Amino acid sequence: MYTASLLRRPNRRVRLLAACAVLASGALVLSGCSSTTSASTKKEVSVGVDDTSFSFSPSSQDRMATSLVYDFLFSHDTSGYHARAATYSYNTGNTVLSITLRKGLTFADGSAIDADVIKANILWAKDNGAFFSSITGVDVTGDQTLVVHQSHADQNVMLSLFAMPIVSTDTLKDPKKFADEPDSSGPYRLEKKGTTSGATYAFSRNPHYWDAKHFPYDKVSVKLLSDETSRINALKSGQIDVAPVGATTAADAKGSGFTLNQFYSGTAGMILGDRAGKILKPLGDVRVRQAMNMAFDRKAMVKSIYAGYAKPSSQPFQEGTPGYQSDEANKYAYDPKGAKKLLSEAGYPNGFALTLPTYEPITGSVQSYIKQALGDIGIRVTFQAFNDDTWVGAFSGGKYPVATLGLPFSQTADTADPSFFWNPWHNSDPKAVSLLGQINAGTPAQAAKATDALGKLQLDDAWWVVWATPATIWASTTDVKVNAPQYADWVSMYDIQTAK
Amino acid sequence: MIVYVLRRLGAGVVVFLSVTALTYALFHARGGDALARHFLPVNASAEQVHRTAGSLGLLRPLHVQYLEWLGDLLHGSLGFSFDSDQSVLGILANRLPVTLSLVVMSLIITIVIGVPLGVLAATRGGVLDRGLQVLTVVVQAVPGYWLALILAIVFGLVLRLVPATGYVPLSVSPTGWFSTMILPALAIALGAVAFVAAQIRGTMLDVLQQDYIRTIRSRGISSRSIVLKHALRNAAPPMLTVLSLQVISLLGGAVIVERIFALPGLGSISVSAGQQGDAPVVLGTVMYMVIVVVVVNLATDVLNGFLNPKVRIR
Repeated sequence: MYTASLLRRPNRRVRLLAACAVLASGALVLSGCSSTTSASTKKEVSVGVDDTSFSFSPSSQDRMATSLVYDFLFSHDTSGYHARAATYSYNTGNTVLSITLRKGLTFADGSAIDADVIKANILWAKDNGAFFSSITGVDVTGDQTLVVHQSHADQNVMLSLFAMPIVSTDTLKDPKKFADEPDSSGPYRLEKKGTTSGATYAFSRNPHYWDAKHFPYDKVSVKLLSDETSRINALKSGQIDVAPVGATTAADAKGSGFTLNQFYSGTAGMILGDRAGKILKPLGDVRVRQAMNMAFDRKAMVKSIYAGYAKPSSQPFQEGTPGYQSDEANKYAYDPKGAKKLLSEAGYPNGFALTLPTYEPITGSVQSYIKQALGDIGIRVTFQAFNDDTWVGAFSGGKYPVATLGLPFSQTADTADPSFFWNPWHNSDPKAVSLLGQINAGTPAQAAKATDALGKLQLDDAWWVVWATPATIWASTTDVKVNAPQYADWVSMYDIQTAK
Repeated sequence: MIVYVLRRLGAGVVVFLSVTALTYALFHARGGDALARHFLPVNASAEQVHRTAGSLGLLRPLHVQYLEWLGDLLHGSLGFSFDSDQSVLGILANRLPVTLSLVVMSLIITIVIGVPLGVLAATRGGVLDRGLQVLTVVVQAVPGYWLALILAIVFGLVLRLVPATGYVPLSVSPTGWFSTMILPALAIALGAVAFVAAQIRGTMLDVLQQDYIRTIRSRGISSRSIVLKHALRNAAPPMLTVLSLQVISLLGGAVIVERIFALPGLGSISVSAGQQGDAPVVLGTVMYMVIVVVVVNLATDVLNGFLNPKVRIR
């Protein structure tokens, strides 16, 4: 080789660079290990979320973002709705809702939150996707009082009111203007210092907030970590204190010493919508629907698909709440032979073909299991793939007899409503409709009794094939705990508390 | 030369218009209602969805929407995000520096390691040369995201030299910025290092076998001088082309790596905005990406024009 001696020895320049590299790595060690201080001693918490954006828009469905900077009228748990910024009462028949605000509510700039502000929020939400179609008018009856008139009893009004952030009328007039700088009505204010849009958001306490004691942290930072592996890495390296994890990575988090906070807020299964048998005749026979229920080995599914982070269940209502049939927990136990027998009795000894619309959140392993389980009893499943845009359209068209569907428990009863979105087949069982009417219009005790009866009806008539209630899992350091979220699996700042 | 530059600039404008128009058409092919549904509760009624689509301007003819987008662009606006209501220009202004600094850092790593490695392999041969060839195949076979995960685990979790994820702006802390950028930059640069080194090796071998190299060697000029002053200079144009292609490749690599390291750059937002159907943000991201590609190509063409006058004649 003609240039054998070229660039052989490190010269002084190279040695200098090497020395710089050592110094630089020392600096990196310092900067890389600077965020491991205990959350409880600093009264600060760093939350990792699986969002790709963090929106403070009043129409935002990002519960973590809105709960930090906005107040809400009510809270919600399995026992119902509770007062937060306001108390409420319904008339007999649940068509007139009276709301009374707490005195002294203000935005962070000191301006008052009064009944006019709430009215403006309700009317804006009605035009922007809230379940307020039954609201016919809102009357302001005083500084802190207003009355909401409904055309009919509708429990979805409270569901949407509970989820409605309280924002200023200026924001409602021009949401874009306040997207980066929300006018806080909630426990925290967004701090520009420490906030890097799209990556990290820093918050400090809103000094005017009336319920500071519910929020133990003086400072909160939220990091957007949409990739699950990056969330786990951030937890392990001490960059965040708490974050959601999936079933497949939960064991890793637990093995690394993190607490797993688990919640069960909805079902995983299929809705057997064509119960009239208009699209697929066999589904009109309850024995066929019951046979489909008996084809699933729920314990095996929980183990293999959800890595154990789910509860096997065949019921659409939440365990421990009205609607759940505790004495029928083993109804529809795994029994493929019994299922085939039922199919034969119904006149389908050779089964039938079923086309099932599916989309991305229904993972490949679930699809494989459905195909195998129903195939074992003779039902030949073909999947038709959609993305999340087209799936909603396909579902709402009511063209498919069965659809995979995970629904929050709070909406299960509404599937009895012939006009409800998740009932695109417009099934109208007179008994179920009557029970739903009692749930909407009755007193809490009457509603609970009617819910229970509706739960039994849905179970006996096999409206669903439910196989599990999957866990929503948040991993946290031992200093932090995550309480069961108030609605669905929307963990918010209300739920993140100190563990000690 | 001016005509040459103007011609390349004109080609860049055509590329820009073609790509953005195609993106616009593809993205809006689902229809206004499908796009609007993303920004409403999933069980919003068809009427609500249609009304929202109308208020977002998605029900107008496609060419009208595209021309309006272009008109807004000329007035310095990219509209507002459907998802967050924030100004797209504002969103992307924060993200462009992240991606550009990631690409620039990766490019520096690629040049600093890849070019000397290629030159050494060409000039020394032997184990180094064979090692480089094996390394090229291995590194190019390794997926970038896998490499990113390994780097995060080894340097972020095991050795704790740098944060495993996250981003610190340069204005907040230069060392913090460097510590959050170095692993992502390495993750996307290592593949490029092997590729560039292999390309440089081939180019250098070609140049070193030329007659004029033999001639100047016969005049007693040192090997170091031959390589550094003569061979490298003549190998520069093909190297430049390889590096410009790598810039575009690094930009593509940023899409996945930014997500793994939670960097708030153009790559991560292009994925999320695409999933959410946030058309204005997607269009803005594509626009920036196209501009970067066009500028890099233009700069390469111009530099090649300076280095090799024959290019200008074409």
